[in-house]
Amino acid sequence: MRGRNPIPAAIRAVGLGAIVALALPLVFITVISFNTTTSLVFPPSGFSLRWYVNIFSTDQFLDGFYYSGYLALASTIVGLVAGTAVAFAIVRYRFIGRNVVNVLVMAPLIVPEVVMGLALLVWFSSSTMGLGNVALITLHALLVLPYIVRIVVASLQRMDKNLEDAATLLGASPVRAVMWVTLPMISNGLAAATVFALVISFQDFTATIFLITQRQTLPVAIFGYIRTDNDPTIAALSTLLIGIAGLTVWLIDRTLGVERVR
Amino acid sequence: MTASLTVPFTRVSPRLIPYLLSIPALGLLSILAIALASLFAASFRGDSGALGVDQYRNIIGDPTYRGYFLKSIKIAAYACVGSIIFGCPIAYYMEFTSRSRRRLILMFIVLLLFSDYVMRVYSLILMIGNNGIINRALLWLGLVHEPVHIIYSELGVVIGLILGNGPFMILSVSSILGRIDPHLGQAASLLGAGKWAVFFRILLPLSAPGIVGGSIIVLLLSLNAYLTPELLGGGFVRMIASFVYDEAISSWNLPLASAAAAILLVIACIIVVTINGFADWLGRRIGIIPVKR
Repeated sequence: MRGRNPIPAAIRAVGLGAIVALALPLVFITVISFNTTTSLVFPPSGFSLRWYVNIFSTDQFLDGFYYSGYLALASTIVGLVAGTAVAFAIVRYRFIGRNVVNVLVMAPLIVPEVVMGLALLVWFSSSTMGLGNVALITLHALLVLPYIVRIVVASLQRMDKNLEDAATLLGASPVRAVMWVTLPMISNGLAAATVFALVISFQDFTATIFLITQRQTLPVAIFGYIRTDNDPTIAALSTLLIGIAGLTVWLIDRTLGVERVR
Repeated sequence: MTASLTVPFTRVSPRLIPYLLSIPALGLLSILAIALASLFAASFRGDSGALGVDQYRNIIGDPTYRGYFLKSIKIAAYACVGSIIFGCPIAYYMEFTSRSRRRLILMFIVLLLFSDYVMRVYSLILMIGNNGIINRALLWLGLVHEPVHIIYSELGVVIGLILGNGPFMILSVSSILGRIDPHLGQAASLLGAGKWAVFFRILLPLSAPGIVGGSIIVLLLSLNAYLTPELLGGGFVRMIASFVYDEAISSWNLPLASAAAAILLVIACIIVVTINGFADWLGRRIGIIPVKR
């Protein structure tokens, strides 16, 4: 909208204030992470990197990082295979039950995470499989599925299907056309879906705690650490995680465009 | 086209292809369906092990148990209203500012959602905790003589939920604002409408679908909140998730936990259905077709 701003000044002021309120905690936690003393004081008494060093000597963080990474990778692969296939079915075919499939893949968004976590706990603990990696990967794949389907469906709908048809007319088999024409054309959407899925799985807490047995994920390890110890190691780890989050946002912006996230 | 599609699937009818493509996702979802069915089954196991509605009677009959639900609903409602009050202005600010600044704010909002939630709640303790930065500043300035207790109360939990889940409201509202024809506001102000009139009679009603969508997300996430009340409630504020978790994991009372979870699922469904119904009614009333996402 060109010309003068149509939003009343009072509302703009509240908006700007709210943005600052959202940003301040992140700014302070970053500053505190470089503090020299053990207490979480502000302003900091000096500059040090000892809390960053401490992250890497705290086993629960390292192990949590590996385990969260493992779960995120595994569930993202499962979610991408299942999500991309069903997205093709939804966008490219008109079939009986299409609406049902369309609604079902979004269903995990409505089921509260507590309910999902407990339901899988009840079922897996009574089944022969028991709890463990399979239960957690299943849970995380369910959590990321709706997001993957939504992003891939949008990418397929935007794509010019004529190019795939052209490849088929020129003699490519449908499978070949999809592999060499369609998938490369929606590669940005697939990349964005991958990043989203990795992030959602990596930081899930509320559903995950129901299925944790021995190995902790990183968020669970952080939660445990906050409750027992209280030193700037958490602030340093948070600053690192904000940095990683910043990197993923940049990736999303480069692949999908951040405006499309909305 | 359909003929060529059958080439690699010589023995597969093309009509089966969409079903074959749906199998992995439906397989995954059927695990969820089976798990939910076993959750419901567990919730009907009575105290003596026989089939019955004992667990539901326990929850509804016990004022403490019932209180967890009522308190959770109240806190979620406050968090939702707070997210509207503080989230919408950000969305409006964002939508009507320069393109580069909009992109920057949007990247920041996504950064919030991509940052670890435990860490974000923790950073809030550093800000508004009894020993936090705001209290230190107030003490130093001599405005107060002892720390103001903001967290470790329901207010603290509500603030935490607004900061934690508010970004979803911002994204939801701003996505709708992006689709509003900017000429509507210009036309109204050319015809003599003041800024507030344009805001309340054009922008706010047109962004209603975004507020509705955001409200559903914030309500569902807040009802489900575990971390926020555990960290910011200081043991004084117990919500449904903590109750379910403690019953299931600490007490291994799966029937009671399952019944509580089943009630939570029903509440979630009621919220989605009624709010969507309200949005449709509102849309017909003021002549807007709600944007389906």
